[in-house]
Amino acid sequence: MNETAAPPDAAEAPVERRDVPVEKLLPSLEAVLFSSPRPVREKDLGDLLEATTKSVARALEALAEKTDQSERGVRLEKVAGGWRFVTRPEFDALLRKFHEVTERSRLSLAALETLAIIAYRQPITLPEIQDIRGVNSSSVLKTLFEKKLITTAGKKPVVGTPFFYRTTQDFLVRFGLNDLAELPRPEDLDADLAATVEAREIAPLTAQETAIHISSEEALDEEPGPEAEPPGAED
Amino acid sequence: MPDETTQSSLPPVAIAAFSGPLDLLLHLIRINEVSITDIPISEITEQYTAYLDAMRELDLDVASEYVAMAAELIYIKSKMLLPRVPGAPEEDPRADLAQRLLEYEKFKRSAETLHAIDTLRGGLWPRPETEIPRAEGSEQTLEVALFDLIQTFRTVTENYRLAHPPALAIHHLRFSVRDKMLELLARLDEKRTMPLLEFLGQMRYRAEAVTAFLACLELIRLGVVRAFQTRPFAEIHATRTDVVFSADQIRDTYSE
Repeated sequence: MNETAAPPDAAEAPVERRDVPVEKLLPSLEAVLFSSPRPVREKDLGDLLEATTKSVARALEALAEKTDQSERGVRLEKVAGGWRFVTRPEFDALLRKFHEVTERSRLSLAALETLAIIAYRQPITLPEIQDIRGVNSSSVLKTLFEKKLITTAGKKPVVGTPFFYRTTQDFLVRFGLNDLAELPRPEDLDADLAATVEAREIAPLTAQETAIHISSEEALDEEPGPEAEPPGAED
Repeated sequence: MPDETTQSSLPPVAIAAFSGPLDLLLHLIRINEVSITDIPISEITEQYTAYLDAMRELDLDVASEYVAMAAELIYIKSKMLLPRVPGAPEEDPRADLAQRLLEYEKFKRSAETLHAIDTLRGGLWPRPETEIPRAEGSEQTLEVALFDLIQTFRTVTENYRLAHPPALAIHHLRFSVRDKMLELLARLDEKRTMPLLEFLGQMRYRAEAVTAFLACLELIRLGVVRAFQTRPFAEIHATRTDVVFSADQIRDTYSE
């Protein structure tokens, strides 16, 4: 799903791209990202500002560092193949109070279980999900659908041609992943039986460890995965 | 299954919301501190069925999947009791279940990880989605998923249905004693004798059956038809008497 805010005709006309110095690029990048609710891809920023991807990436790193270092309420995050501004977690209570929000919608245990199966095994069909969970999962699937965390991905060419399901861009954003390769792996999912039994003894990731995982986004990112490519980009 | 052991071995845990039979099994394996690959099947089966009983007592709906798993556990238990055929390859009847449990557990743990991340990231506030007025003529393209289309179609058809309520047509059904008399007479002329219920039972509506019954009574009154029983409480039969009475006479005598 193309949820990154791309300029309408970005893909049509090839833009003249120049190397732009960081200090010149940074304020305009900040303005664009400030105005966008969804992650904006580096390529789209480059198209918009007529700058090379390299200089955009440099400026973004500088901006991220700047917002990360100082005592700021907002930070830049790289997620779902793009960049966006989000508030820092410590201001959650404050923002809730200001916006008079009590609780945000939580995902049930069953929903998270199903989502995990889809995330790791995609594309996957409903019967396959139910085989793993040992329980009817169609209503859970509907919930995930309504939350736009999963979508269909064609049909499996078997009897009954069931739908294939996969995770969406919204899934990546919600769980702070740049692409699917970043899915947390508490253990190797394809490990053999013995190794898995041993792995059982290790406690699951604590919230703190997870936090470390999330904030370790400064690592240089490669090309966005196929998941991040907007449809029709090749056209 | 001995009841005392059942009661005492049922761990004092509230009937939590298990997400399925595998979840419940994992829970039992954990509290019994046993290995997935070496489940003491007899004990676990006992505890498992005790849980299902407890659920039923609390009037909780026990989904069929839970019952199916209980059956599977009992099947495995019975298989383990059977002596192995000499020379047959050594095969653990629990192996398949263990494999499934291990697989399920992996995803359960992944779900826990996702939950931790979700809780943490729930505190991050992005800029909320707002409608930005766009220049005229600039078309915004969005990828539309199949289900969005289906949803849209549903909305459209629902709106149409609400805007155009179907006209309420009430079909007034009319039956006449005259027609029923003709019908019964025709049947009796053909069969001579028939069970009365066979005739009345063919009527599709209550009013129709009542009309048919009145027609019977009328014909009996005229002596054209005779009703009889072979013994008390036996089936009532209708038979044509020798009284001459034609269909034309009915048509002439009774109005529609």
